[in-house]
Amino acid sequence: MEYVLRTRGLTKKYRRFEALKGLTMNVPKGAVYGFVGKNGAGKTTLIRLVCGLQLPTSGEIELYGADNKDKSIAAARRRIGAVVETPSVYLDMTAEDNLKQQCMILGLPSFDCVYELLKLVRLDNTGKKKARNFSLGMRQRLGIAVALCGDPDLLLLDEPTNGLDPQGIIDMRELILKLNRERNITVLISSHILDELSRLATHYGFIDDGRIVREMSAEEFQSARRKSIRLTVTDTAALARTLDKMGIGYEIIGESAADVYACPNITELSGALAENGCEILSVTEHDESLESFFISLVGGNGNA
Amino acid sequence: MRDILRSRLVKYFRSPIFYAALIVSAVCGVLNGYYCGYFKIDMTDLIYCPMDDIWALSAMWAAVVCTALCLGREFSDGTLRGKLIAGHSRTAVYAAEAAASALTTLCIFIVNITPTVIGMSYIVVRIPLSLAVKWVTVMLLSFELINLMTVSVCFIIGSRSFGLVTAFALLFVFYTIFCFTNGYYYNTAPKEGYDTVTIEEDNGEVHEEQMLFYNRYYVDGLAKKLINAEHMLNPLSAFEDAVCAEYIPDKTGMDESTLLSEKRSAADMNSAIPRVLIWSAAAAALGIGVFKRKDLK
Repeated sequence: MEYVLRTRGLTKKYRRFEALKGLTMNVPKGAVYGFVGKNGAGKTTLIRLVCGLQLPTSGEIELYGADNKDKSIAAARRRIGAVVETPSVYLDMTAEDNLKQQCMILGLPSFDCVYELLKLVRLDNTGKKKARNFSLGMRQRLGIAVALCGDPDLLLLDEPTNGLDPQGIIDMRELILKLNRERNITVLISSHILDELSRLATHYGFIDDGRIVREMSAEEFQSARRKSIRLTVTDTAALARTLDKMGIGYEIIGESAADVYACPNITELSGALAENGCEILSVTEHDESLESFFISLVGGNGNA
Repeated sequence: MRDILRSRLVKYFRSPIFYAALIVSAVCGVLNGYYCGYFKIDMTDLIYCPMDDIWALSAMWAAVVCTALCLGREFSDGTLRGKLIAGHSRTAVYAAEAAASALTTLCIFIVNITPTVIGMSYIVVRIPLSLAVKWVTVMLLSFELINLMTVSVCFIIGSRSFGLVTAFALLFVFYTIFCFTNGYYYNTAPKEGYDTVTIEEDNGEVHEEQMLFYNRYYVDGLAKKLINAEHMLNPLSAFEDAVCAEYIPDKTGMDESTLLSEKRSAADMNSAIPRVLIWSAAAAALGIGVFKRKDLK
């Protein structure tokens, strides 16, 4: 398998705080690599190191075969585009002027790509409107358009759906998929919205406390995640007590539903619940969610 | 670097802040020229560049504000990141920013110095061309030094507002120190002596008397060494040397103190350019050195 980005034993220390503790990861070419981790796990730090915004304390980054200690890393970085936390756009300029600025920075001979990119991110009708007057979603899209200047082969997106409304999230998903499928751009994306990430990613990297705890493809995730049955009941508290007594793993999903990670004897369970005054309303087969898988992997209920 | 420089120049020349700085600088230059013309009446024997430094300094402040706000925007908008992600080295990014702001500072200087020189034309025609050229060069390099220091401060601080405040504070501190010490440094009069004073009696008789005076700006020994060291180490001193530059076309009949003052001025003007260049190199080295190790968000 060909990898566009690899890291080996990457560490980053900020005075006494160690953000990355020997992180090793591999991003295959053509993948949409979902980067999953809690707040402070080191996702943004890794993206900053790859982009050259910060220097690693130790370890290696290999970008398109170029080591971060070699001068060739500068040429390799020309093949990436990135949106790190907030989009890097001039707020006092229009979308078109922002893209022209980026073309100049990249030393592109013409501004031919500008209109195409504006159309791609659906900002072609913004006219003279300055970026400071854009909505958050528009700014995110402009940030991606800026990152796409120069036809990058690898796109790094740090929480691109943060603060977006549901329509904005859908638009962003479609844009990322389009870039990946039509332009064959490898995408590394970190997101808190794991459900959203699971609709995009072809590969996952689960990070916890500055280390990659597991890397897997979407296919491997499909087979690795636990099967469950979703029970809809009249009293989830009674269900929880009963399942605890029976020693069965479960997760309460809402006021009346729970995912049960086993195949219990339904008759036995139904009887036990009836004794507690609880009825089973429905039983459906259900796959474990990415969120649940992540929690089972890293433990705890911290913010993913 | 050429690509970033090009993009930065386009950005500067489209910035209203740059044009506001140009206007402020031009107005200061006109006022400077006007007041220099006013002083012409008293400047028959001793010719010097009698600018009130506040007008030239105001133009310098304008350049500092322009650089700090425009460069600070790169940090506040996060657009500086884009240049690094695009594969440009940190040294190239610094150099391009320094070069672009140096060019805008040159524009700010030109619109300031042109009306000033026109207003001082009565002086300019009476001093040697080499001195005039040196004077303008020292003024320009001083502007560029303060600009470069602002660039370095912005790169070190990495914040638009803090960068501006810090650059302002630095300039203010250097200027304040200078104001406290310049009286001692530029003083060439003896510790004490006699002044001839004309006294008019009640009956209308006029006669001259010798009166003892004490020079409160006279220093010697360690104090003198410290004052001289401060002058060498203050980045604004070259600028002030230019502002206070002296030249006497006809030295006959001049007292020793005045002649000494002109001699000191000539020596200061000679050392001003190397001093500014050393300061510039130090400011750039510090800026690049810190920026190369700086973690950007």
